[in-house]
Amino acid sequence: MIDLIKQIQEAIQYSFIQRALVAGSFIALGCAFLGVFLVLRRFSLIGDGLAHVSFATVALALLLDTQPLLFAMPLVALASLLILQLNEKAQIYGDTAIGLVSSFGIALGVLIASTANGFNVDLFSYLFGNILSVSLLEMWLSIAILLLIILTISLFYHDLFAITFDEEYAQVLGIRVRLVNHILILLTSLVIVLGMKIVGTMLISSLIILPAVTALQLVHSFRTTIILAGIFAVSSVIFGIFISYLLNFPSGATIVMVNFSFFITALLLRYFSS
Amino acid sequence: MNILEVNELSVILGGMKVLCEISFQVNTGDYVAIVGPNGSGKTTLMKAILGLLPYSGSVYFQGESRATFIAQKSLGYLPQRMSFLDQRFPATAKEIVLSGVYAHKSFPKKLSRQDSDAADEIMNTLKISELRDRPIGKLSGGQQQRVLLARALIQHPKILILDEPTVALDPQSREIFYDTIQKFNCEQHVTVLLVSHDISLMGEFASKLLYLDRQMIFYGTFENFCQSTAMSHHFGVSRHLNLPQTLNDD
Repeated sequence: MIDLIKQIQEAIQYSFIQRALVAGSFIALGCAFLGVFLVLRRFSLIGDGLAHVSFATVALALLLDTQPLLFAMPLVALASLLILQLNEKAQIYGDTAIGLVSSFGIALGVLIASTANGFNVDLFSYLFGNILSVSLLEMWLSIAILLLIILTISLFYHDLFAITFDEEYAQVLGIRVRLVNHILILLTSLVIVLGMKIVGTMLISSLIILPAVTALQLVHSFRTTIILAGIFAVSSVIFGIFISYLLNFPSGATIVMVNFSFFITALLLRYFSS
Repeated sequence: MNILEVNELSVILGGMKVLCEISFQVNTGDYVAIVGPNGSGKTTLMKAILGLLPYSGSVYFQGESRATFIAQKSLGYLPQRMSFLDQRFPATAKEIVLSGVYAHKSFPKKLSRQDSDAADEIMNTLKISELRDRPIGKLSGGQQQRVLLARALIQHPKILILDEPTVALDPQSREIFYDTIQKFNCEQHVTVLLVSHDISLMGEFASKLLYLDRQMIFYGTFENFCQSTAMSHHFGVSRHLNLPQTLNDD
């Protein structure tokens, strides 16, 4: 046990672990907060769809030799608006719109990757995540985006609550449903792009879905659900990073497995308490 | 005095005209039931009046636009029973009732002590105070509907619009629900506009009937409805005199 504590103390000394803890926690918090709204509105797979688009934009950025995340952000934000437009204007179901954009993104990414040699290793790190290689810029970006998410949720909390519970009624109340939906999806796209570095495009939707769905097993108040989802998200990142460091596991997959174990525990707790 | 004025309202959905030039006026204190057969456009009319669907024609509330009227906390709306309601939606009954006050709040919206007191008061009036901290998804259909009614009434609206509010309720809950609505109509003079497929039940409660079949066939009192030549032509004389107990759902 003492040896374990020593190893953890040693790990915290490394700046790459510190950056991973900060960036990972902040991104996970952002994903969890937005995840509560997305899961309840049955829009949770948008994380998957946008992650696949991110994969294509990162492939393009690597091909053009530019900073992948900064290049990906505006393009993925545009893709998120496209999903909303397809849903609203072309009257295509939300999950179908996500599927369309998602398959287009992954196909484009594979095509770009196949035309260029030499950057597939970098692309691989975006597919499965590499939280231990988070740069200082990425850490600051994750802090900025979380602050933006907290500010937005604070300002639009009641609108978001009304829309999440009953979108039609919210419209009757005069709430600007379209504007709030656009803000929610745009923030999701930003957090997805940064989250690629944490768990990778393959697993990023788990950061959106799992903390929210875990919290939903345990509480009945909206505000408490958001807070609890945040606690599960941050805990999974901290435990995940240390477990992966100690056992030499891939960090992204370990974070997701910790999240999943929280979910199973919450599910069992609910089952036995009812 | 007119509280609602609908002029030549038409709705086209998917290239098909589903409502054709509907015009009527509702007086303050009226209890109007909108009835009609399956697919007659009852819910479509309600949604157009509420601005949830595009339409041609005009809708005025007390001579003002819908947005102005809503901002004055004057409109309450109760949608069809929310069959899609997620049983695990993380909100208490009181949180749902409080969402009825968002309409008049300016950005950024904040709830006050008065809002909380108003929620307690309306829940008390509707005899659902004991439900305040219960999760909405764990309530029975009748209880959920009363919570949603409390949400619609929290601002003491001048007009209450209800869309088939009792569709999935048992007969006892339905009776309690209609008694409550009638009480608000009689005692607090809340104007009621209610979509229903139950024409005989509406005869008991409503002061006026609007019979719809993509166009307005009849608008007037229940007594006049029974003797209406327009309705006789529509149903055929023998069917009209033996009024249908229940018309199909919209």
